[in-house]
Amino acid sequence: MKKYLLLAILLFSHRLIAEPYAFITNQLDNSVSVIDTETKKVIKTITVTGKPVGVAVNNKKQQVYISTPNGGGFSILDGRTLENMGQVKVGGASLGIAVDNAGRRVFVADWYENTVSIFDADTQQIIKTLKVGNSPSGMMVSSDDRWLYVANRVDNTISQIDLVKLKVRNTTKVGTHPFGLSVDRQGLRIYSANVESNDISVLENSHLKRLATIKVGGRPYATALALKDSLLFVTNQDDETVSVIDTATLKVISVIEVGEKPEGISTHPDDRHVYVANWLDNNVSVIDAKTLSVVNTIETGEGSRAFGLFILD
Amino acid sequence: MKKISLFVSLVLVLFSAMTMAHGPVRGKMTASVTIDVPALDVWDVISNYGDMSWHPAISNTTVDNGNNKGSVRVLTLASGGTITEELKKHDSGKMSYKYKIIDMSAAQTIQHAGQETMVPVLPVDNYQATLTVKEKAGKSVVTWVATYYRGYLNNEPPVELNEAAADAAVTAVLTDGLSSLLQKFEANGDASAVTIKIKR
Repeated sequence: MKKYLLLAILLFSHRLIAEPYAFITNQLDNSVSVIDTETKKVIKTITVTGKPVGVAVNNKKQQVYISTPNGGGFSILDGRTLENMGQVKVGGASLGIAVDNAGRRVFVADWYENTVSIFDADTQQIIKTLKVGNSPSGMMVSSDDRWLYVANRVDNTISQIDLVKLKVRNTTKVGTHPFGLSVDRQGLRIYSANVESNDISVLENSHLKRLATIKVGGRPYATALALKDSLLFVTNQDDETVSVIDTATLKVISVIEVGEKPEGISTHPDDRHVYVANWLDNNVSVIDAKTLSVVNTIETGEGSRAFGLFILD
Repeated sequence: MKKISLFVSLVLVLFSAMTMAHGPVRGKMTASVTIDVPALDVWDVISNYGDMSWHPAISNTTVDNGNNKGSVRVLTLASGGTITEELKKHDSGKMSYKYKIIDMSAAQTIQHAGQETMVPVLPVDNYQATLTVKEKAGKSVVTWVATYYRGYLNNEPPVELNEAAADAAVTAVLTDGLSSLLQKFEANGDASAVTIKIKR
């Protein structure tokens, strides 16, 4: 009897106690490294062709979406078996990718078509394709699934899309070449990393009014919030650093050395550890938001980019 | 149902394989050469950021702040034109420095997609590179890693600004530099000793 109990525990424990997995796109290797965030080790490398860049995690369906700019669409990974389930074709060059919190709709930005396509997560059929600004890149959904924010890189704007009416409600100017975005949990503030102007724009949600512009390092790429939205972490591609902004004072309080060409950044569901993909160093730095220091470096594949929310809860 | 969606995915996979490669993606070029002298000897030649006289394609270099971070150098090319670069990092202990291009003069102006388009002397965008010497079994291994995008960031680039043009130009810069550096120590060394690896 005891023996069976042990067996049962062993069989079920895998998913029950397994820590969340981080999915790191390796653009130059055409693969995705899966990191077990408990052991801090890569447990599997999944082949994904088409120069994988963007990542979105569907916690409800336990699926991961990988955008492939050279494959004209996105691949779907099974978050449990870690198998590549196949590809969905979109069009030109898919880059930014996001999913709503209910796990029902997938949003894919097309860099050349200047569109955001909305897919049904169950059927993988297009619900609607919306025209946005030029070269849409980063996207983020508000936690109530009411709004989708899109960075229109070449237009230097952020668009707010109404996810009930499925149309653009408002568009506003930010810094030069916005790329990665973050939205706080209450949906009150939107942050954009502006690659060419080396700063962060802070917007409020109701009228997209600009609250502040904060100087950071060279060519900031993407952002992530941690510790109950009190800190914003920013990858600076050209400086091998991550800037840390206190969201109460809107001041940079720390600059942390990471690897070369830090790009994708995402916060662990523990709200404390921040994962950074270093494109040129082929690894991931793990930052402890409480101590503001790098606590782990994990080898991944060549050209680690991981643009988007890449840790599956 | 499952069978149908599997079939659909298969069709999609096949279909997507046929679509043309799209979009500017950052390329990474790694050039290296092994020179049969101690690393310090080679570092002595290349460590000064304001002196590019070891590179045959560069006829003159001016610099505003030596080997300090942020120092700007202007390279005048033997073929005419200038490249302006900024020093990102200089580490004598690791025998390595990193810099990026911040400005370039135009090699020519072409008509493309109904617009005048500038072709810079090095047809790349957002170029950054690191030059490093490491000692290995008494020899120097010099590595020059450059990352860059093609010169044209929109879809359908002209041939002057596509990936092939960028790769060819960067290959020439790194190969000429490293083979010339090799020849300073080994008179019979040539470009075939330089290995080039491109990933994109």
